[in-house]
Amino acid sequence: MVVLEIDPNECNYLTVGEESFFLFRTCDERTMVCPDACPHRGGPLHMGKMNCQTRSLTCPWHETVIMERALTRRSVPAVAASGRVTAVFSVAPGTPVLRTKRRIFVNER
Amino acid sequence: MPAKKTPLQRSRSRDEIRRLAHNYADSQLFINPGDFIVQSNPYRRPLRPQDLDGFDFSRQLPRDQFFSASALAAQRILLNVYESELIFLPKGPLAPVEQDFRTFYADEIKLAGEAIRPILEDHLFGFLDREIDVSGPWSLPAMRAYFATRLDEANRGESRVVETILAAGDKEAAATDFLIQLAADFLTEASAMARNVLGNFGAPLSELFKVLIDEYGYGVPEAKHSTLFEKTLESRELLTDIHAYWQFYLGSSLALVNYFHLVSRNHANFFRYLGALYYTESTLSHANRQQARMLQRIFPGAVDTRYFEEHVHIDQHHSRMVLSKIIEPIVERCGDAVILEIVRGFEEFRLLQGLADEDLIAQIEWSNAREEYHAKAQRLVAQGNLRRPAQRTAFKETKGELSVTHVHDEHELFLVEDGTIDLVTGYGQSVRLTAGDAMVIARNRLHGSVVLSEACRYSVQPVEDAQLWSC
Repeated sequence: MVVLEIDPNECNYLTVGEESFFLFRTCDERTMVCPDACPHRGGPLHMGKMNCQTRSLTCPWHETVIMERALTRRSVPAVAASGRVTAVFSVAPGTPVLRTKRRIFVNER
Repeated sequence: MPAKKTPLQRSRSRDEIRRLAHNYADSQLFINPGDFIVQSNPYRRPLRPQDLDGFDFSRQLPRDQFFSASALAAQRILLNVYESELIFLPKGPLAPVEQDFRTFYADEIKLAGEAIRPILEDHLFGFLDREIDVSGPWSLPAMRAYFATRLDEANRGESRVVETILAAGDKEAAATDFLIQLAADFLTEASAMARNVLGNFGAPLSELFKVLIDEYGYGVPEAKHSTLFEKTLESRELLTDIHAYWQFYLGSSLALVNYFHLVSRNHANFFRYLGALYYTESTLSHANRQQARMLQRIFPGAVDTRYFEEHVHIDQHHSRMVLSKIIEPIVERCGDAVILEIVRGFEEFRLLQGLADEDLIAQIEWSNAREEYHAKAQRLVAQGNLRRPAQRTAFKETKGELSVTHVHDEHELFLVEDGTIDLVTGYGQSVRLTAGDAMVIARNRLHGSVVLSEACRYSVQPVEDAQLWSC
């Protein structure tokens, strides 16, 4: 297990080992750490489009629709408090971590 | 996220909520007393009912108003409501306070308290739901890793409170303020925890009972943790009566006690209670080690620190017991879903403890700088910042009249027109003001006053941040 502290002002996208994650803002303003790969063919979900009326997001690759609750079920155990996010990744200690800040399309409503 | 009203709050008007608060707080038990200290009467706990009309308990307070006047008033009421379920007896004979004893425990006042309790709980602690978001599918290994990381951070480095006390100009006063804040909790034992050892949840209940019985000294009065803390207070010639220093408790100190009642009284919050318990049992050891050293340094050879040393030792066991003998078996039994609530409780108490530290540090710094604030006020008056008399709020009080400690949501300029008054900034800490004297009372800082002359007229007006820092 690796516990990472994330400052959303500096990082909203992480690659932990082979897998990438993004900070997802749900329709009721909760913050979660979600895997970026679409369960269909691995498309970049952070570039998808969110529909808060249907509470679902659409993957940009094949327009696969994923319900918000399904995405949150795949999220990483995390705590968002006092402007920071702390997340627990199920990887071995020492696993390389790359932090970046990028446009998260799916959070644009 | 904006503060939301709960169904309970939505169903009641602001006026109705105010009336409920008055129904409770207008009791003779809670009116203004003649002294800052209440001795031999654990039932007298002033609430300044005259201020209640200015508060809106119908809304959740945001985090940045956690030290506000409304928060202090609500924390005081809430603690009284919770503690009306606990047994307290005066140190002396009951007869002189028997009427208060009967009133404090009377069904009438308890029902009034129950009517306002959930509203105050939401007013004070509702913000935690917005401040802390726990998400994801947790597992025991993830929870263990998370706790280990958080506790490693918490148990590293020097306590900011201890550093502030050691840096204070009047270290003895600052350390005494610190002990008084602890008295809000430590003298009443682990009473909130006791709410969780009834019922039946298998072997973990027995383990929780062991932690509780440690607190109570295994039935040996001399070993009770409250007795050890009483020895600390006695060694500093402080009173050991329950809530003798009620007026000197900060709202955030009361919040720490109230939170444990909140999560222990409503058993739907049981898992949150476990998380909060684990946080406190796992951080007290480190904190108490530093606190014991700080007290010994400030009062060499003149302070009993056995309470703190006991916790340095026993809380290492309690931390281990709470995690491996209580939390983990309960998660294995109830399922991983309860971890969300356990982590939430851990985080909520961590946040509240941080706020309480921040509040105490600010209070110590302000009280220590009281002569500086006195001088600032004189400069503000000299610079012509005084409003016209009609725009200031004027008071006229007579000898001995006491203003129960309180806080303001703005900086205030306090100007004495005539007479003499002591402006109290902490236990044994005050500024004496005579005609023409002024003092700045910093926003959210606890203070009270007592008139020394036959009569005293004074006025107050708000002060902007910019005015304060420019003088």
